[in-house]
Parts: sequence; C-alpha cells; structure tokens
Amino acid sequence: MEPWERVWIDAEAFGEDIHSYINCTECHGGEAVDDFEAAHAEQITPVVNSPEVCGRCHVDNGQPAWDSLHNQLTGYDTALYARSAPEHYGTLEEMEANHCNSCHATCGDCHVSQPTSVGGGLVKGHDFYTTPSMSQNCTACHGSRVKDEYYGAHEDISSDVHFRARMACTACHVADEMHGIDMDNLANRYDGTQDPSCESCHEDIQLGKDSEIREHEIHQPEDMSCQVCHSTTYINCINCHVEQTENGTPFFTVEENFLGFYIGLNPEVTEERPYRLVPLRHVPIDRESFSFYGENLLPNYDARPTWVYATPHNIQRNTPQTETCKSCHDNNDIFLTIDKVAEDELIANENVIVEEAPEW
Amino acid sequence: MRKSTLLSLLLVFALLLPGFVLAQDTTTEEVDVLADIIMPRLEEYNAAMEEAGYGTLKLDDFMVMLAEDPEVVVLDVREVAEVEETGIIENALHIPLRTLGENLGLLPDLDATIVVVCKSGFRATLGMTALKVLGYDNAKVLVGGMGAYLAEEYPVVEMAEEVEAGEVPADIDPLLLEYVAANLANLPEGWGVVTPANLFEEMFETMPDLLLDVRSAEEWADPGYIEGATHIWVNEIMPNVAELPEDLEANIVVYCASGYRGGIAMTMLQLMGYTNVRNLAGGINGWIAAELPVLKDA
Amino acid sequence: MVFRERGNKLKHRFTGIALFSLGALLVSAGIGMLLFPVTGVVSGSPSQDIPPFTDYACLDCHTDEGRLKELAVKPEEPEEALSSGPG
Repeated sequence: MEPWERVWIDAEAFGEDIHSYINCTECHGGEAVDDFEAAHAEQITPVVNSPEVCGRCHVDNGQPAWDSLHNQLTGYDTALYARSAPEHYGTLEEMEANHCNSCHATCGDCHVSQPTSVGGGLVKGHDFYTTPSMSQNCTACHGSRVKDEYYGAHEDISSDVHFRARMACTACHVADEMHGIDMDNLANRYDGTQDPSCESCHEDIQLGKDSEIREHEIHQPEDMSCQVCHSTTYINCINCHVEQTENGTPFFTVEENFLGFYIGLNPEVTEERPYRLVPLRHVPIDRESFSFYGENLLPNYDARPTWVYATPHNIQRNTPQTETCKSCHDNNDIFLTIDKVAEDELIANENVIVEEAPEW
Repeated sequence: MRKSTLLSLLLVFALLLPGFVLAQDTTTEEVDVLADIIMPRLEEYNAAMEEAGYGTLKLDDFMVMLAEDPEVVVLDVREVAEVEETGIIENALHIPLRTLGENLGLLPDLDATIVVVCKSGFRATLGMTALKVLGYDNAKVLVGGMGAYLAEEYPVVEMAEEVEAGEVPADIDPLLLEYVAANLANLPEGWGVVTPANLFEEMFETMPDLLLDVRSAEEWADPGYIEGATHIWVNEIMPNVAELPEDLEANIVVYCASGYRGGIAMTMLQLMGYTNVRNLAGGINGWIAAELPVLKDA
Repeated sequence: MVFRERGNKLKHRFTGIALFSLGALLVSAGIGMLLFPVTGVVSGSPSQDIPPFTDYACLDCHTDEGRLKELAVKPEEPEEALSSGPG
C-alpha cells in the first residue's frame, strides 16, 4: 500500500458510513484546519482507546475488546513473567513497550484498517466493515504460523481442509470470541472454554463415542486432541532475540526455524483440555532473548516448557498419522522424545517429553 | 379490371422496393459498429489498463478470495466434455466460451467480481477480456486454470448447478453485445493457440505478417525478444493501431511473457476485425523453456 | 463536497431519526417490560451527544488523492525490514 493510500478516504464509500457523521478530531485528535503542519501538530494516532472512543456507541463490545487477549496480549505476559522474577518486570515492560506495542489489536485494526504491525493503512477508504478481512486483517498479524499453515504456503504441505472448504477465519472465530465477551481474566488463548472446538461442528464423530469411525471409537477424549491425528507438519522457531538499532528502531532476529510435527504431553491438563497427548510447537524463547535490555532477565527460564501446546491450522482428514496404527504406535520419530530436546531445555520440558511411543 | 389492379399494385411495389432497400442501407451506414462502438470502447478499456491491471489472479489469491467473499462468481468457460471429465468448482457457473455472449443473463451485475476459469488460463483470458470490454470491470482470470487448481487437489463437484437467467445489464449497448457475442461464437478451432515449437517451425517457411510482442520495454530489453517481432506494449495498443496491418486477414501472432497479456491483445485484435490472430502458448517463457533463440539489443 | 452538501439535510434527518427511535424505544421498552420483567441493567446505552460535523478541513484533504500524493511521505525504515525470521 502506498503511503497516500493508507490515509486516503473514499468520499463515496465513507459518506455512506454512519461514522462519517462524527468529527474526525473526535476520534483522532489533531486540529481541523487547512494547513498540514497545524492540522498534524498534535500526534495523530489511529484510535486505540476502545472503551472511550468506540465503546461510547458500541457499548457491548468496547470494554471487553479492550480487556481481551487480542488487545492486552496477556498470553505474552503470562509466558514471560513466569520465566522471570518481579525485580525484572519493569525492564520487561520497557522491552514490551518497544517491541510489542504495535501488536495490540485495536477495534480499527480489524474493522477499518490493516493492523499497525504491518504499517496500518485504510482497507476500504475509511469505510468500516463488520467482518474483518482474512487477508488484510487477521493474517496481517497471524502470518508466519496461522496464515502459512492455513493457506498451505509451506512447500508440499496442503492447505487446511477448512480453507479448501472456503472458510475464512471468522467462520470459526466468531465475534464474541474475538471481542472477549464472557472471557474474563484469561491467562492465554488456551485458558477457559474451548470455543470454537472441533466438536462444535463435528458433533457426531467425537472420540470414544459411537461414530462408525473405528479410530475415533478406540481412542478416548482424554487420550489426545484432534490435532494429534489431523494436523500435519508445521513451523517451529528457535532463539528469538530482540534489539534496537543505533537510532532506537526495535527489531528481532529468529535464528532458526524448521518444519516438523511432534506429539508430546499436554503441558496443562484441564477439564476443558483433558488430553494427555497434543502436538507441541517449539517457541523461540531463549535464555538470552532479552539480554539487550539487561542480564539474566529470565532467571526462571525452566519454569515453562519451550515446547508448547499447539493447535496448528493445517487440519487434514488424512495425514501421515492416519495412515496406519503404526504411524504413531511404536514410532518414536513422531513423538517428542528426549533426544529431540536441546540439552539446555531438558528441565524446562521435562513435563512434556514422551518417554517412548505407545506400544502396538 | 382485375388485371389492371394487379398491374398497378405490382407497379407500386416495383417503385417502392428500391426505396425500402435504400432506406435499410442508410440505417446500417448510420451506425458503423466497429468504428463508432467497438473502437472507442477498446480505447477506453486500453487506457484504463494501467490503473485497473490485467485481471490475472494467482491460485493462492483465488483461494483466499473464495474463502473471504461468498459473492465471488466463478465462471467456468470450458467445454461440456471437459467439465464432465474433471468436475467443476462448487457454485461455479458453467458457460462454454463460444456461448458466453449469448448467456450474459446468467451473470450478475457489471460490478460483480467474476473469476473466469478454463483448463490452463488461455481461453479464460479471452473470456475475461470480452467481459471487460462489455463493462464487467472486475472480471479476472485464474492463472493456471483448472490444471493448477486440480494439481493442488482443491475440491470439485460433479456438475454445475442450474441457474436461472436474469436480465442482461441495461448498461451494455446491445450492438456492442451482439458484436462481441458473434466474435466469441466464431472463435477458431483450437482457440488460436500456437505452441513455441510449431511457431518456430512455421517461421522457417513464412514469417507471420506481424509478430507482435506486447510486453513492457523492460521485458523486451531483458530477457530479449523473438527475431522479427514488433514491439507494442499491451497497454498502448490502441494509440498504435496505425502500426497494425491494413489487411484484416493478415497472419498475426501475439506473444507476451507467459500468455495472459497475449490473450488480452489477441482478443482486442479479433474485436478490431482481424480474423487470423494467434497467441503464443506460454509466451516467451515457454519459448525460452523450449530452448528457442531470443535476441537482445546491445 | 459530498459531506458539506448533506450538512443541512442531516440536521433534519437526525431529528427525524431521533424522534422515531425515541418513539420506537418507548413502545418496545413498554412491551419488553410487560413481557420480560428484569431486575438488573444488562448493558449501557450508546452515547447520544454527537456534535454537528465541522471537520471539513480534514476531509477536504484526505479525500483528495492528488494532495495526499504530494504530502504523504514514506515512513522511515520499518521494523519488519530489519527483523529476520518468522515473526
């Protein structure tokens, strides 16, 4: 998107939009004067304060959306602070302010412009839209994992079966979930109810029930998540470090990434997610990830696994796992066994490592 | 009495007949469809090309579009037998290319997004261009066609659903439609495809009257051009019609990089009345892949 | 221009809409209270105090493609250009 396009208002389209009755400065600040410098003297930002701006009219969504994981990014805090210690929280906050600020999803990031993390830009000439665009909103942030897996961008790996069935993100991830309605105080996205779950649609093929699918009848809901059999190779990342350039521009470097598929133990068995086995994805946290900001900022690095619960968005009916029973049984290659975990990460992952594949 | 009545009637007819014929002649002379309707429309279409783009849509983007926008119309222009053999994209309309002009009532409004698909993209480009000339500004062509779609094992259904025909959009000039429809109906056997090997072989015997390279100047410079070619960028065909042959039956071969812009140019030339136009399948990329010679200006 | 032209119409339209909405609200609230008596307030109501539109200066520029092309500047090197690896 060209710089001018990002801020261009389509008079015809926006003129039809109810939001065009509101003064520009009401939401954006600045001065409504015919002089570039004066008009932009005050820092004009996209609208970030959802409860006070959008929430004035959208009373049901404003506050929950503000409090939601989408905006607060609580999942990151949960994962980082557990590995750190209270005396470093201030430094980590400073780091987050530099590197994570553009990731907080505001109302506008989904309903009027591309997210700030990809440079923003009005999608439809400032016309607001109810359903976010999969290509310009959702995958702008959820790119390297969700998008590439869902679209089938990795070589020789098919796109997700739901993508092939013409389902955009919002087909599963509906407004209430996205706005965090009735989802208070979640620690991360795998906290609370599973909504949507696979069973929300696939009611009659649940594990352990009469479904005329032998494999579904043999395995029990406590045994594994659906993705254990029905997702396939996904991306894993190693060693992300954040830094700043001399003039203070923040950037990150992910040292390595690889495609793989590993079944391990569920790091957190709950009533909502009772599975013993789940696919695990390696996240790029490293003891030195934030060392640009200070020494040993993650003293409790071993408190959480680096191989984490994953729900890869590349669901297939047929996968290498579904070929035969022995694709998993007696096959250590597909499980996160000790030999696949870096030596420095053995303690962190001790609760998710599988001793050996189940016998056949 | 009877005879004289009959004779006078005949006399009246004989006097009036030439008048009728003349009157009809003058009507056709009043509207020269090619000069007054087709050429201005092609000029308009050609001038908008730079901003509007060519309309090519890659498979990945097509799949995203299908997932995101339920209003997208997929128009399969293959022959009946081909659809029976491979199946068709769910909810796609099926209108074989030669009958497209007669079946516009099956399409939605002029501003709808219509993605034209065929087996490889060759015919669909002709269909898309015809639709754009008619005013369907958001017509697109699926690059690689059903071949690419099926190679990825994307889903198909056995047959297209029956759709009830509505009205042809009122904004389409009936004379323009009649002309374009006839043009599509008369598309040659083989659709005007010429393969690199066949063209190369032919060129030993006779050069085409016009071998037209419609790529940009940068592409002409690198990777080069086919010997004997004339260069007119596809976006600038109409301002350069003077360079085209006077003889409407001239042997013309068009090429671009991969075949899409060539297809657009081919359709434009056919609409101008040229009856012997072909497009190099796979464009100069196919030509180079077949290890055939290209020239580069120093 | 589109915005300015509709300025006057708008006042009347807003009054009409407001009166109609108020009427509809009172009637439906009455029926609602008869049918479903509730004890607590579920959610707030949208703010009504939207002042008349006056920010034409912003719109005049931001709807003008030519002026934006002149004025818009390319942002300095964005973060993603420096970063490497999947984000």
